[in-house]
Amino acid sequence: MKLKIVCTTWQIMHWWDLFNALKDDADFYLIHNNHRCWKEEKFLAARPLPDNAHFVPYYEKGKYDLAILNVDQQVINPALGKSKLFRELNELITDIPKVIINHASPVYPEFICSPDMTKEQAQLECIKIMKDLVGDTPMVTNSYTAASDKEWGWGIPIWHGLDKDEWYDRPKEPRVFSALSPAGCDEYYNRSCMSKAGSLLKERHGHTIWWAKMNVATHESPEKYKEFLGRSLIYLDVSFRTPMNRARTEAMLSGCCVVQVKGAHDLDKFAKHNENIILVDNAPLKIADTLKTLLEDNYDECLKIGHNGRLMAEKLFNRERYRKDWLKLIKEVL
Amino acid sequence: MKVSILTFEKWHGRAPGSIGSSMIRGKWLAEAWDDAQLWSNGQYFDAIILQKVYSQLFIEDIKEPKILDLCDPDWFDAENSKCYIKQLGSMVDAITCSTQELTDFVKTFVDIPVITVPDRLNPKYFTRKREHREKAKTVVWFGYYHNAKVVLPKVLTSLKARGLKLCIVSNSPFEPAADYGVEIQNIAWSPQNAFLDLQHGDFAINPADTTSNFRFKSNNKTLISWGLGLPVADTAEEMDRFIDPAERQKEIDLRTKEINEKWDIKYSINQYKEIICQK
Repeated sequence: MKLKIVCTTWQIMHWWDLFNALKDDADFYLIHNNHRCWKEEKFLAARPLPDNAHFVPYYEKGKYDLAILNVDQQVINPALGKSKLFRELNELITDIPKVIINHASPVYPEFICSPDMTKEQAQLECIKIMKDLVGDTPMVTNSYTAASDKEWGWGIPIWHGLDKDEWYDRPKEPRVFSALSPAGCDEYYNRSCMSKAGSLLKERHGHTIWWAKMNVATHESPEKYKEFLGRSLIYLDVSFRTPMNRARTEAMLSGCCVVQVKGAHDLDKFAKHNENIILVDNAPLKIADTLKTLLEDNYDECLKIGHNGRLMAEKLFNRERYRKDWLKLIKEVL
Repeated sequence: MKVSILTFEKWHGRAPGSIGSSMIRGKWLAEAWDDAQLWSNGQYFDAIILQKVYSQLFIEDIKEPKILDLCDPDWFDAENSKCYIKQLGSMVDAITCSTQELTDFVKTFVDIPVITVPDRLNPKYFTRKREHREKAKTVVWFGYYHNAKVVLPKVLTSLKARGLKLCIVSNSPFEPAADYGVEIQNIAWSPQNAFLDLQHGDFAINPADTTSNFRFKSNNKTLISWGLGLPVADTAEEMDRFIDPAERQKEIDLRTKEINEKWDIKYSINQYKEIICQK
């Protein structure tokens, strides 16, 4: 008998993965919310709802086995819509076990900003508020580092798991692409490094970093995104506090050579420098120079690293492993 | 029976108290109705009133009785408002409108019951009445700034002729190019203090603009003014009359009786109950 899991729309791609991973194990019931709607055409076009996902207008006691809710670091700000959504559902659903997914890390200086507060103190404050919100409900993180004392200090790590067949490994154009979020949470995404590295690469070497939604309209359609990504030789990820950036895994599955800033989560568990990834210091000039060298002198080497990265991603970040991890957790919770 | 009232303000994540129609047609209704509550995410309901909420994607998944409540002709600009009135009319069980003018208009587009449920007052917000003991010195106007710009310039000379000050309670200051010598006081609208601020005036003015969508506007500003003990002068003659405190008190005594008989929110609750029962 399939489980009945109640949830609501949040990070659509992650939910898409979970729905599909558990297609034989669970039916999902998405409560309509006033924050984000999967049924909007643009989302449905990219990720049509699988047969085991259904929309419901409200929560009904006694109908479900488990609730899965979402948070991220911005939920500590009670004025935000996503924060209200989590709080309302968390207060409402009290009769069944719950699991909370937290795919973020405690980096939110935009909200916790006091002149006499250090970054470390701000992080501790963020953790404290999150702990109050989440309570004893099991919290799933997207990396082991996110659950460690370096970030939240608690949590159950479950790496994401993608469908490898969704991504295209095309003949590679000598270019650098990044899908780093274009706005909001600057420090979390280490966005200033990205901007500076891009400027230096252009000024010093004449190359462009193709940045999704900034100078390349990959958001116009999912196909355009996958094609552009699949034809990019290099994928750059400068973030190191984002727990296992999903876009980076998409790039790996597309055979791109990933250039990653050192210090990112869980690198010790999957990353082999110069073998399946290239690790660089968090220094814009070094990043720019590394990219220049890769673009101009190391095409074949990039192809090899991209190929190895893809094999590694298929082995570690796949749907079946993801399914097993989730079923294990659900069994423990129920 | 659990009736949920989903307001424009809540659906669009606006600050509490920032949307007048959501306050009058949502909050006041829910607070006076034992079986009703304001919608929150996931909340169960047996029937729902969608106050200017036009999300077809949500509405189509609701099987319970659903009433779409309108107070603006939003479909004039459907691409921006997403109020596709013809489609929405086939997805809900009834439409309620704040004015008869709006009802008559909507009826020409849809084939479901369209009923006028006028704006009414929740008495709990109108317990403190303005007292009238002296000759009037100040008139008050309240509303959105974009309306102030349209309707207030044409009354300034009338105010000057009577030596009246103008107090404006709005979301942004009214600073006309020419004030005609009228002393103007701007007070920022706040959900907490607005009604107290309005009572700075001796009586209210509510000039209409008949050249635009004002024809669909309800009389809620007049009702709120009356509820606070402020007569509303619509003509020069009434302005002259309301200078006298005895005349203002006489007017308010009359209007208080009218509110109790016609404009108490309990009459709206009865109307909604009837609409829901007919589904």
